[in-house]
Amino acid sequence: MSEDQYFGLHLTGIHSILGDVKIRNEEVIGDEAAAFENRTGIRDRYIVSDSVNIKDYFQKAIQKLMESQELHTSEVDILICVTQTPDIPFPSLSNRLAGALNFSTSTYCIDLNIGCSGYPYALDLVSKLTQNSTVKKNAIVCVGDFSSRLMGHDLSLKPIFSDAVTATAITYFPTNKASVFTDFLTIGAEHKAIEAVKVSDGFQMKMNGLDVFNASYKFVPQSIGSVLQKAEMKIDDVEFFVFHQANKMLTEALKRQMKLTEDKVPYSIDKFGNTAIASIPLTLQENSAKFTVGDALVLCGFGVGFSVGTILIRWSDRFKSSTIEIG
Amino acid sequence: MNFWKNCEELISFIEIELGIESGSISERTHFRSISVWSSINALYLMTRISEESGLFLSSAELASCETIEDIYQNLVAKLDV
Repeated sequence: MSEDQYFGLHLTGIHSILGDVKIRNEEVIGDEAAAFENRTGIRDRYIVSDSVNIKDYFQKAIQKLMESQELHTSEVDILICVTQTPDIPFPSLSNRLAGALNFSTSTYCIDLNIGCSGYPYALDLVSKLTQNSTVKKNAIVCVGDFSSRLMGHDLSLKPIFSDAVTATAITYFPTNKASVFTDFLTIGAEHKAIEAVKVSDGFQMKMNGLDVFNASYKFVPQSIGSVLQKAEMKIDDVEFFVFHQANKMLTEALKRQMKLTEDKVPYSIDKFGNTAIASIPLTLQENSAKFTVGDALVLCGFGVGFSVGTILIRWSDRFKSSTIEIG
Repeated sequence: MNFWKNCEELISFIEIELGIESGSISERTHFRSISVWSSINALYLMTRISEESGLFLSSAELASCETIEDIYQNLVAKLDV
């Protein structure tokens, strides 16, 4: 068994909440919107209004997920929250939510500060925590960023990013058919590709799109190749490659580089924009009807850091609920 | 991977990728003045150049370029490394 191989990770449900304000890019960039959509694939976006608090979105997503999963608070063993735009620096979201939702004091709660590669990281952590435990069975991974609050007046960024929070339920149930493989890369030398810079009233995102492309194009295929090697699989053995929805240009370039066929690469960017860390679970939801139990799915997130996270999972027969709502 | 034998070949590639009229730009064209130039088209063009050539210009290197000839020479320099 590879050191990056785990068993028993079953995604059983996802609940997502989009920003409460739907944006059409004509309102932001006028006549250039059609050409912009052609290049980026982005048609619709959702951002949050000023009064919305990210903690409330996390709490609502988790509550709705637990209802749909018929999961009682006492049954949640692990709560992982991943965001780079928390409402306050501390206490952590997961700690506050454990209190608000009346979770057991034995629930393992942690926040991760990771960008668009964060979903595979969180699933990896769940795998590690559940693998050798006799008591940790049910986990909730809640991820999301309110990127719109970091845009300032930058018209090169504003038409791209969307706000969303998405909660995923994961159950540990050991079967060989649910084996998971992971790979993670940190290219720290490229940390300025996307960074938060100080401005008078807080922070603003600065993104060098070309550097993001360069790092993604070089390292995403490397990470995916590493996962496939660990799993002793080839590209043809994988049913779907679910990429972080950065923009269509980049995904299409990766698709061409790796010689992936159209049907293997699902999208959601047209409907939701770049929802940062939430984009992989949203893409899973948007395309879940295409997945068959046992399908091999490679989930690959990449971005801020610069970091790349890849996880190969199997679509579970236990996946039973998926809801996307507007906040 | 393919590399353009001269700047004229790169210019033809740029014209096709950006969908602009053949012969409308030259090696001395300040690329930021091309009618369809925008941050998103710039990114698209550079991704296509990287895909085609296997060479990567950083955002800082592109920022230092003024003309299409500058882009070509930056790429040629990477060929020599």
